[in-house]
Amino acid sequence: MSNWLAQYFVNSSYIMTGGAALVAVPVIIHLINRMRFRRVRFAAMEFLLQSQQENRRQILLEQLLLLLLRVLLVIGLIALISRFILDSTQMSMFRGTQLHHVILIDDSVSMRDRWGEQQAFQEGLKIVRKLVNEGAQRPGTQKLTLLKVSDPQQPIFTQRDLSQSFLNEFEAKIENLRCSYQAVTVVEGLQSIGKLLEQERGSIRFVHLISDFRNSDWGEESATSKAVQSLAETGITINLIRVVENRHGNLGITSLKGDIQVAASGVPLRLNVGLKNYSQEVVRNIRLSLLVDGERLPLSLVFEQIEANEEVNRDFDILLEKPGWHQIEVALPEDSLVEDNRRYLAVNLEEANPVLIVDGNPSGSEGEFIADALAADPQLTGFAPIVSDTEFLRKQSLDRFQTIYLVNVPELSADAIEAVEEFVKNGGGLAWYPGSLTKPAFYNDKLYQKGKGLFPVKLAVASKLLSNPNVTSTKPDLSFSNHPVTEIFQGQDNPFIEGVRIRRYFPVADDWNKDDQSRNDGTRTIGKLKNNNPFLLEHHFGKGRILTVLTSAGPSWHQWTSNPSYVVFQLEMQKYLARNDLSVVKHLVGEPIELKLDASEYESSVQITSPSATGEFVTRLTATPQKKSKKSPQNNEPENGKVYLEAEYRDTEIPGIYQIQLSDFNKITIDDWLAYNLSNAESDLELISSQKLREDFGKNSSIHIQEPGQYQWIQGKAAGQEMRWTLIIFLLTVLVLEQLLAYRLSYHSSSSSVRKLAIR
Amino acid sequence: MTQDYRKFLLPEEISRISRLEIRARQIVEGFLSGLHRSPYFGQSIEFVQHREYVQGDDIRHIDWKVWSKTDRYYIKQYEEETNLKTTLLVDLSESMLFGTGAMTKYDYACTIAAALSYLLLKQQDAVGLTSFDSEIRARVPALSRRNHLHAILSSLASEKPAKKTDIFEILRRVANDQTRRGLIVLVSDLFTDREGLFRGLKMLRYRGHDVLLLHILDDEELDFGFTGITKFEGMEETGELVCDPNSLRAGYLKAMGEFLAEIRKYCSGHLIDYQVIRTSEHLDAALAYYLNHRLGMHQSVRH
Repeated sequence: MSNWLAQYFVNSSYIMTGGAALVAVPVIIHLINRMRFRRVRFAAMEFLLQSQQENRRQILLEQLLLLLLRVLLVIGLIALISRFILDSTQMSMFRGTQLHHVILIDDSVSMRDRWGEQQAFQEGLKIVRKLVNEGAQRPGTQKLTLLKVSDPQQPIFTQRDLSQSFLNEFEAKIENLRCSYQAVTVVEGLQSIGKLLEQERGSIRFVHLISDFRNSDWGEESATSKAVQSLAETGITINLIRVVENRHGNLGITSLKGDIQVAASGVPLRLNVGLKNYSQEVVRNIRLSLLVDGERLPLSLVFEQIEANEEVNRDFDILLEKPGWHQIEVALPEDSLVEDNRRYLAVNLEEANPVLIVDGNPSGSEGEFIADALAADPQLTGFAPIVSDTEFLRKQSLDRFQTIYLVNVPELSADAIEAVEEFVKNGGGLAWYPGSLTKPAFYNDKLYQKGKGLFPVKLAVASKLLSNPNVTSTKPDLSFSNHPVTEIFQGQDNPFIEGVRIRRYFPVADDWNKDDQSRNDGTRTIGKLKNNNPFLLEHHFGKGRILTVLTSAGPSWHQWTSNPSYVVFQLEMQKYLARNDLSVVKHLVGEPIELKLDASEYESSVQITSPSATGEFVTRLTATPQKKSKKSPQNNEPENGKVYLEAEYRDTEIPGIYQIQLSDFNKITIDDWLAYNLSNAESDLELISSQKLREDFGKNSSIHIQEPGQYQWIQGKAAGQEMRWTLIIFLLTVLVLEQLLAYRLSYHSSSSSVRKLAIR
Repeated sequence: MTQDYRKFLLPEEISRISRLEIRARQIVEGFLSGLHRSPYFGQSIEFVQHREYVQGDDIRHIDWKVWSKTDRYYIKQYEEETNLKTTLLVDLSESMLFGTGAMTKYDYACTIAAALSYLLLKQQDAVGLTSFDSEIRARVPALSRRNHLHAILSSLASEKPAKKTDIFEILRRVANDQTRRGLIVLVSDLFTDREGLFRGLKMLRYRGHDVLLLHILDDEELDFGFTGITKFEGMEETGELVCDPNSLRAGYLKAMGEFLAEIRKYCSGHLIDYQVIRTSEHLDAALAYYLNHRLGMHQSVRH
């Protein structure tokens, strides 16, 4: 009985403990009134009896109606107090349909927001528990589907009937539910709910969205708002449940980067860290700790003051001795969102970065100047240049080199060109220095290839002297536009580059358009001579970058080598050209690790070491041959007839370093470390106000907004606000009817008609 | 006893009604000119008969002319009745005991009777009283003497209402007894057999009496302002009823309205003056209104 009542009343105990007896009260009052009468000796009984005779039936009906209304009034009041749960939408419960509660819980990083002992995600789970417990009290009427925002395709529960027996299973799963580290919006979740609920249009559907409702995700025109609106339009009642009351200040590391592609052992590595203050107050004395391979360095970076909503960047140098992979980590002290206080970087430290300098003049020493500039002392710069001739390009593998310099090369054999093209296409850097031996016809034919080749410009027939009509002119020979390579020469204080004098250069062909914008072939002019002839050009070939300097490498055509800026220029150029496939690639948590292995080189087993809360754990994967059919035509290149093995590793939930270990057929293991970090998008904890949300959704009555920390609505949920109002309106109607009837049945002395009887 | 009967004729009431006059609506036979119309033209004293003197008669009435002719003592007898002979018929049935205000209907009826007697005697009309319930309870013959008022008041005070009403029998007897045309004033709540009432009234009219019907009703009888569950116990053995008066009010008022309308219709059809009087109203107001308008309502025609 009590179970049955509990299906329809929140406070069924009220009814059990005598609420039902109250229904009898109007009847009892009526009977008592009938028994307590006044005696009157009356003369005009004749008319009274006549009246009674005539009105007997009407009186009986009216009395019964009045009694019925009063009983209804009491029933209505009891229903209101015991919170009747048959709202207008639930009327169809009688038709045997069920309520389907779809709970979408936001588990993006921002839900890891902590305040005091509480965490946003745990608060959300608390609400889920309350909802489920409440639903389990009415077995057979409620269904649950629970989804996480980070993985809406795989619901935790799908259309499970809520009952006491379900609670244990539910509790077990909920216990293990953890907030993800991903930056995801609820849009996808809402869309998949839309698809999920599309089929069951006949049932009553509730969507409960539990989230922190950050300002950056929500707003009038945001995708999330639109998704909510469109879901609501399909007749689904949507509950927006807030779990975070106030905005909490937060500091986050936004970036950690550096020229790690040229990192070498013993050479200081310059890194740059970005820090943003996501709060409305100024923060002071922020100490940033540095960890290398998990060990804290004795130095720490101190930020004295960061203004509200300000981002600061700071360079710092670290010195790593041991070649191989290193894990660099920067960490902030704890704040409300701990997860964005750490950032990881994986650095592969070479003993020295090999650079190939091909000098076309067997007896020349031009290349040596570059080699000296790059590594007068290999310990200081971390470069190991090799000077060789063009035959090297054909005979040796070029893969190990960061950069290739082609200095004063007259011409290249076809297979040499192919090797260099392959090298650059795969991400290697290439630098051109023409010289006295350069054959423009060959360059224009084989290398320029109308802008599609390795050489960026069409050369004129011969080199030219840079005429200097006015010796006293102070105008420098070289001028550079804004570019990473020449950034160091920018500004007022660049006396060195101003002192550089160029005697001879290689002009571009007259019919070559010098204007980058109108030419628009991807070639960019970075430096110009004072006669407006291009001097330094950049273009891309495949993944690689190519820089072309239209003068000699050595001092034969200029005196630059004696200027200090020459070394600086060479080093900057080297950093820029170095294999950018080795530079920092940003990986965000949740992105799968996709491996593509050359089946002829590597074995199929792959070992991935992942970070976890309790240390590292190792996963072994087996790469399988790729499926050709799915590939798009662009990617479906013959790949030189090679067979590739593919493997995918999805479990990249936790930020940190993922170590991939491959082994080739010589059983030599090759390591590749990937740093997975959080997206910055979740660091800003500014919340959208309920007021604003209401404004956005105000017109839609099927969207409700629940304030944080308030749970009353959960009990009322099943009852629904509408039911309460329906009951109140019902009560008012009955009350008015009762009053009208009672007024009609009662005596009012102001009737003037009676007086007319007396005096006429 | 004197205290008792005086309660029906209160000094303030007397002072209020003293200026009123009762005029005969119809031509009555009388000799005091001015007040009532006479069937005869010119002044005359109506001599009735001679009677032989017996011991004890007033010697002033001896007709000496007859003595001189016959040497016998005869006394002259004059008509003692005045022009208007009025008979007050007061209902003393049990139902008259009902009353919710200061006075019961019985009290009110007696007061009216007293006031009318006073007025009539003051203008030297003869007044008689018959009180009745199912039968005639008391009779006071019609006289115009001033001290006759005592007799009327004493009669009123000595009777207590108790029984049912049998109006036709009463009216029939009154009609038979009253040989001379006069004014019959019936003071009653008329809660009786209506057919009998109408037959009786018709008989009175037939005999040429001027009939004045004063219908005494209580406020509650007219308005039916009872509230709450009430047990009504009928007077004059009319049964009892437990009910919510509110629910029966409309029907009751309708029935009462029909009752009053029926009587009014009958009265106006038979030239009977009819007036409903509430016990809560001041006596003088009711009487004054009625008496002042009485003549104007129906112009009488001289024979």
